[in-house]
Amino acid sequence: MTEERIYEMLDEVFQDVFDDEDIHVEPETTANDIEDWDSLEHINLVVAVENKFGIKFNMGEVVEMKNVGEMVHTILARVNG
Amino acid sequence: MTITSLNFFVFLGLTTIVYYLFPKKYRWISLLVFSLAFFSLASIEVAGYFVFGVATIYISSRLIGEKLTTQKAKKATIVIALAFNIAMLFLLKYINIIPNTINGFGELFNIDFHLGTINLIAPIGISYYTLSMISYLVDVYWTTIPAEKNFFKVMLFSCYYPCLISGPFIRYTQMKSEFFDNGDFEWDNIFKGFHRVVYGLLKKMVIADNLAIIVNAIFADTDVYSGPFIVIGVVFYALQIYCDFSGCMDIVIGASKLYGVKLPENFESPFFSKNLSEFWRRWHITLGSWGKDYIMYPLLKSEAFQKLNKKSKKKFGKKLGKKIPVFLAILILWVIIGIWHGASYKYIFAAGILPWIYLTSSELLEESFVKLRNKLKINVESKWFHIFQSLRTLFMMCIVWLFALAPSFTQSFALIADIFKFDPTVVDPFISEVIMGDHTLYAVLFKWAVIVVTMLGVAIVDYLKYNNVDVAEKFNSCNHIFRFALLIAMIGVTLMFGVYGPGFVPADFIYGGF
Amino acid sequence: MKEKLKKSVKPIIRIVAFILVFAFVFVFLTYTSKPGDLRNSSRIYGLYAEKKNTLDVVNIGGSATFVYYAPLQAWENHGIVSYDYAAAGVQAELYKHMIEEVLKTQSPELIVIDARAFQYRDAENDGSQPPSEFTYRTTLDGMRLSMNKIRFINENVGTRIEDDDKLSYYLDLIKYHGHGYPNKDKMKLMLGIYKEKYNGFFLEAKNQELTKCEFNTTDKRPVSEDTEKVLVDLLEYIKQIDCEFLFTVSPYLEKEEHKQTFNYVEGIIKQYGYNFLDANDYIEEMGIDYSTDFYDEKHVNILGATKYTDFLSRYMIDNYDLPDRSDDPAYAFMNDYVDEWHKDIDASKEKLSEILEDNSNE
Repeated sequence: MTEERIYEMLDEVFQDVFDDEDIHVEPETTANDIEDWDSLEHINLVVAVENKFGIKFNMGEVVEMKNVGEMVHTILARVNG
Repeated sequence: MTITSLNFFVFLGLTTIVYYLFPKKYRWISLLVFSLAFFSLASIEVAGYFVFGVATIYISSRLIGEKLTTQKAKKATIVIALAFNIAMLFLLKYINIIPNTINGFGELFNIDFHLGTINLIAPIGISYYTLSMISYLVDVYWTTIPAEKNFFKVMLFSCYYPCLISGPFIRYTQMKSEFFDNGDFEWDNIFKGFHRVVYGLLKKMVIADNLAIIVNAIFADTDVYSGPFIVIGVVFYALQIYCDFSGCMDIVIGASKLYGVKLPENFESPFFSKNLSEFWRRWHITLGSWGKDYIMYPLLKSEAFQKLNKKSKKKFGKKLGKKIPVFLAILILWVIIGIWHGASYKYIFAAGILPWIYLTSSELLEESFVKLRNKLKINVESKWFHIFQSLRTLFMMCIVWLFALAPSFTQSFALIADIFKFDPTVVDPFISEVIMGDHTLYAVLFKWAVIVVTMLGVAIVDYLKYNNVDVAEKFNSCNHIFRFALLIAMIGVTLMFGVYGPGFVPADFIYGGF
Repeated sequence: MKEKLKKSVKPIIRIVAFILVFAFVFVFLTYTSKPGDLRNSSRIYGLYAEKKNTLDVVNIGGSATFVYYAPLQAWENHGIVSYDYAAAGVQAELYKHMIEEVLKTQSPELIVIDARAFQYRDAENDGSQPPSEFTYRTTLDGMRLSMNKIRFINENVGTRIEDDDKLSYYLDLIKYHGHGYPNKDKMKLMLGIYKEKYNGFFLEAKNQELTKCEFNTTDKRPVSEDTEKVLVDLLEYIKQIDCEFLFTVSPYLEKEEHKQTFNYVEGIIKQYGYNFLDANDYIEEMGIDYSTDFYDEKHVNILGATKYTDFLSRYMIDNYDLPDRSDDPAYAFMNDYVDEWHKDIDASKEKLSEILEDNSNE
């Protein structure tokens, strides 16, 4: 799977979880950039990403990921590795 | 030794010198020695329990991180290790919750069970080091970090003495480089560390401990000191507990800075928060993030909660439905936080259930509030609105603290009823006994004027920090003379008006007729 | 390495400067916070302002000294240069240290020691003033921090009095901080220029009519074990000092048991070759009148003090080698406060005569 495709799919997940059609994520995107992305929503988002890509993050990764770029990095490793 | 005692300052000075005498590579070993010494001085029995505990954590971490291969085995190991250490914590700190429960139950029905409570000396810092050790082991289990091969490094992480007293909770991921890849001598560290310790002592000894005299007098007998006394008492208590706890943090973080070891912050101008969610992100920060990372997230991500999520979304629709598992998770989190604060229902309610009620209702009412604000055409960016929000936050927290000040949960309603009484005749004796204490009016007024000025100083510092000014750095780069003068003033004020020493009553020293 | 040291010079200078300023502030705050009423300890403080090596006689004791012996009267009448180094309720175990403190800056011919302290410290012997934090501090607080002071605190605080907070004795500030503010007297103390204008004497202008207890006894009533230890310790200490010592009991409402205690104490003191003078045996000679000369059972007023000062001064001249410094220009400073002294005396005597008139009219 290419990085480009991952970003496409992530957009779909974000738009669904946060109910906003206009969201487009980039490597630098963090929780500060998206209004409803707080610690309470974080898990919902993570689980939605897991379901979309058929992968599982471990708790360490969930806690440590600082921006979308890092999330994508982990997804790539899971999906292609 | 208490961190406001002369002994502690001597300890701090000596350890700093010894630390830098060690060759850089081995400086962390000296920290371990200091920490074990500090621990043993406080309680040698507890130091014993601690060594036992950290050994189980270390062994489990090596097994999980390196030796064991199946997930089942790893899970079993971590469950045993956690259960053992939590049981030790529970036994030593909370053993009284059982008789307390039964007695309290009896109180409700006017039955006198009178079960005796056991007087085991709760180890200093056992609540702190246990949770830090747990975070290390869980991080290994989650493969966030590899297991640390050196037992003594794990030991240092677990018993680092600045954190033993009241935290902050530390994570191995952050502290590893601070402890082991560090230790260069920088004058900046010495000066900034010193500034911070002085600032903390000022807050604790001048503000917190003086307010405590009044607060304690009021809450020792709210039947007598009722009505406005209670209101004033709770507000003073809010200021007291903030200056005490954050002052303590300043002292330990400053002390750690002397060694060049950076500790995480526990307070970030909480009283400027606009709402309670923000408050809890600025008050006792490391407890909040520990709870979030090791209780809330794992709960929410668990299968049970995911199932609940799906079910409730089906039943209540997407918006409300997804909130339900979150509310349940934070209920569990807050009850645990309440229990952590104290082995009684008072704390489970005041530091657990009540904050949960606040958080969930503000989540649910968020939309209505926004509509109301728009209707009233309130400018959310204005300074006045911010002041309103801060005061509102303070008010909500004062209710929490009111419950914490009651002698027990069942007695908190009596306390609330006392707010509606008032006996004006006790005002005079209260002032003369508690506040004047037989000293001259001028001296007492001057002292409290200085205390108020000090509080304003702290408020200004917090305001600057809320607006992301690096106050410590700014202060350190100030004009020498100004900095010198301000430091001397802070120390002078602490020496003069801080609460320490035996104190005296003037009457005792007037040798009437020799 | 050289680079590092160079870099460190500035910060080290800053630290040293800071410590010096801090030390000054600490001393300033110590004096600022001392209780406003210096009355009880003022004559202990005042010693430091006395010109070095000028005092020929030093009276050491408690209120049984400083309301009794008037240095300015002794100066005017006999040219004696003296000082009342005394504090309210003094305890005998302090004497050794008070003497040592005096000898740091003075070289007197004679030191007069108030022996009443050996009686009043035994609660079981009708003693009204056993050792306590208060009776230690009236003297101690006035003494500057020194090895002498530290030795006293180490030996007596926590043993003879119950208190494990020695630090607040070494460093006053720990005890008194919180409510003081600077005034002229305290700043003078700090600078060591606080002068006791009457060299320690305190004028008392009140009156209580008393009746002397009549008895005649040579019986000896032993003091407590601890008091005897304190006495012998003191005697062993002064044995080695090149100075004359005289032990006195000033006139008061002495009871028979007290006299018996003094007989016992006298016995020990005489063994060391020192004189013991119980002024209560010389009431007639002094011309003391129990109805007019006392302000309470334990203290004389100014009328009684005048008589006692005269009596003791003559005794000292007869028995010791005291120089008469009246014509010595080096001692002209003793005249500085004589006029004020007379004004004060006259005012007190007038006040007293009014009181006595009122009493007799009742």
